[in-house]
Amino acid sequence: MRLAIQGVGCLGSYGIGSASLWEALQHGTPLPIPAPKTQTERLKNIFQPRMLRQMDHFSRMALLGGWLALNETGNAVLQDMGIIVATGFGPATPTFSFLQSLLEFGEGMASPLAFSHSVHNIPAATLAMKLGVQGPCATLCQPVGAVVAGLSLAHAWIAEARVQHVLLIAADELPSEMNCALANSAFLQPDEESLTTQRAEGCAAFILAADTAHADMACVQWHCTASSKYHAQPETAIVTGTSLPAPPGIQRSFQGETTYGRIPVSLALGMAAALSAPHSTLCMDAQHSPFHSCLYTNVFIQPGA
Amino acid sequence: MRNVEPVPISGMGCISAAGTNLHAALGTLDRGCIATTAPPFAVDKPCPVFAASLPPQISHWQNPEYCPASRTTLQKCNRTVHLGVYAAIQALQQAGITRADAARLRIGVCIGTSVGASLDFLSWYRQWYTTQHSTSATGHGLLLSPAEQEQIQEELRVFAHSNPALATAELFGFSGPAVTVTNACSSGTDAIGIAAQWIRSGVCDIALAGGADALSYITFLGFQSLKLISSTPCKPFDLHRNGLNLGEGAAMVVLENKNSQTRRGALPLGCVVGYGTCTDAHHLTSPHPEGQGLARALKQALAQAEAKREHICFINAHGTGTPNNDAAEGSFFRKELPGIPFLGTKGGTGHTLGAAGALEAVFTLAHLARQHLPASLGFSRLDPDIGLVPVTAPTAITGSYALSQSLAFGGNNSILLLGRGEAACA
Repeated sequence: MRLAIQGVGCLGSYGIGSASLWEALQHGTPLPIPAPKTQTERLKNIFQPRMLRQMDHFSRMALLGGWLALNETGNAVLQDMGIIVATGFGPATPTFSFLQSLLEFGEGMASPLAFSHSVHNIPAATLAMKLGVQGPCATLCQPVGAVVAGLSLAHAWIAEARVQHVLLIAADELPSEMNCALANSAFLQPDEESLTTQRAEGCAAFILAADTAHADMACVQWHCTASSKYHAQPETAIVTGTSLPAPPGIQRSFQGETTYGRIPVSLALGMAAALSAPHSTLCMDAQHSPFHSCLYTNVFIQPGA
Repeated sequence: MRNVEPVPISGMGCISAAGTNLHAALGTLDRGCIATTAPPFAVDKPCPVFAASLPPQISHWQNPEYCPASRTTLQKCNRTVHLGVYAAIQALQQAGITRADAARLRIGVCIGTSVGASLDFLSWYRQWYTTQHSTSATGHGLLLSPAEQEQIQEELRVFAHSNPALATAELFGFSGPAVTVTNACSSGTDAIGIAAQWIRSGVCDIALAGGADALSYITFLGFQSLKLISSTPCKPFDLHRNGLNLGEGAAMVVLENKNSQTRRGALPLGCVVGYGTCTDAHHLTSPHPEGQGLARALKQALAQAEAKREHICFINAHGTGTPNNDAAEGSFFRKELPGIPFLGTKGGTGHTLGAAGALEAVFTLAHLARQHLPASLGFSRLDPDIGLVPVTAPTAITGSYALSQSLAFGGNNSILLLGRGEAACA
């Protein structure tokens, strides 16, 4: 499947912007330890403070990522646009805030605000409200394969002429509670204990449209397999996932998670970086399911002119 | 919106408080039984809930002919997954898709959930919180016994194995796409709509689609904190409605392309002829009061089927029993679908959240097949502000198409247009 990419925005523990992410990858800039919280202060320069009031961190990351992507295309796309949020775990901070309010104040005083923001589709709804989008909105939540699920749903909506454009947001946040829980042996996948890359958080957003096969247009093509084989031979590879070696025969390859960290949706960060690369780039991902089978994903990014 | 081919349904299964299969659930709805119980967890202010009677022993319901996973593997998963697998076995059995078929066909899984993807590990969080805020000299926080530690580990382990779509795909050995939809209360409807598109576009030969959610202490308290729960059995569309009752359950349908169905000699029970979904962009926890998003979703669903409003013989309303939801739906019915009979079934099942849309799609297909509607449980007095009365007595219907609609937190509105039997699939 293939789609045109008309805009991209990304942010994470590494910083903001796809060009700076690509530069950091090229220089092998490692992520600071511990991975810093993603900065979303820039939203204050874009939206009125009252519009940002009571907005949770996940939604703020999604809104800033979405705005950066939209900023590359112009607001005309908003008229006929859907929103898809792809995530490994959804808005973790409000969930833990609700649990905290329960422990501190008891059942009768548990926070309704935290609970309502813990519902997984609230970030997508927040974006729809802030951007004035009235098309379809979907949230897909799974620790494995969320980004490809999001791309595929975007393709379906566009193919059925449900919308002309889709804002795909891939995001995950990492509050300290979540970081601690994910490090618990009960959560670890077979190969995870040996990994040296640190967990982080981040968001990548893409404005997707039908592929018109225009040579100058950036596009994305993807497929999932049960093996590590890949079909194309681009110049560059950005390897994400947990256990994939750099493919042979490719001139340059980068271990993406060294720079942007280990995130359930790290494939999307690799895609964002690849859009700043000079030639077509293969983003590779391998994720173990909870039952230990492995899903390999290859995403080809052709940057625009 | 493009006109699309109808997608045949060759199997259905469900479990809820109304019954452990479709036949039993229809009987409960027909008889007007309301089977609320106390919550299956201790709470300060208990309110009635609708609990499903899932047999506690996995061996009593696991069927290796359809689900090859071992009991040990199934035990690693949570109740939401168990409910989903229970309904999936029924649906696959009705469709005649065994584990041998699963090995040679590309079968996708699309499951909607709400509770099933929530990070509700309270025991673990209590330990983490206490350790962080410990003022004891040791700074070690809670002193837990090995058994308590193991319980916490188990809580995390079960969560890690229980993403509904990923777990179901692995338990059944399916090789197609696996997607978990978390669109709050419209998740089940959306999962079926998405899976129908997979079939039309050839992403997979067969799709198992639906929704699943178990009752949860955290979710119960969350809805209680929002003051959305009624302390009495819910009364959808009634003048004195004052909130919802939470329920649990699962429902699955088997969607299949026509070639596969013909090859297998399977007869369609009905079909998905249209699907619409739109957001209100109005409020995070309340629908647009005039159902504007619903109206756009309806337009999409009808356009997909090239159908008209007069083709619809009844509507399965979302009908939660909360003042805002029922008023918005009422406004939508008055304006967009006047005169078409509608019913709500949450008076018999409770609000099963991510499962609700799928459960009600299965009921809708069954009502279409029987050409008969049960009464809407819980309704007794007209709300003049709504100005509409749902079906209040068993009613015969004539027609081939019906709507099943879901509204959700976040302003999501989703509608399935479903067709009756083989004729609607032509």
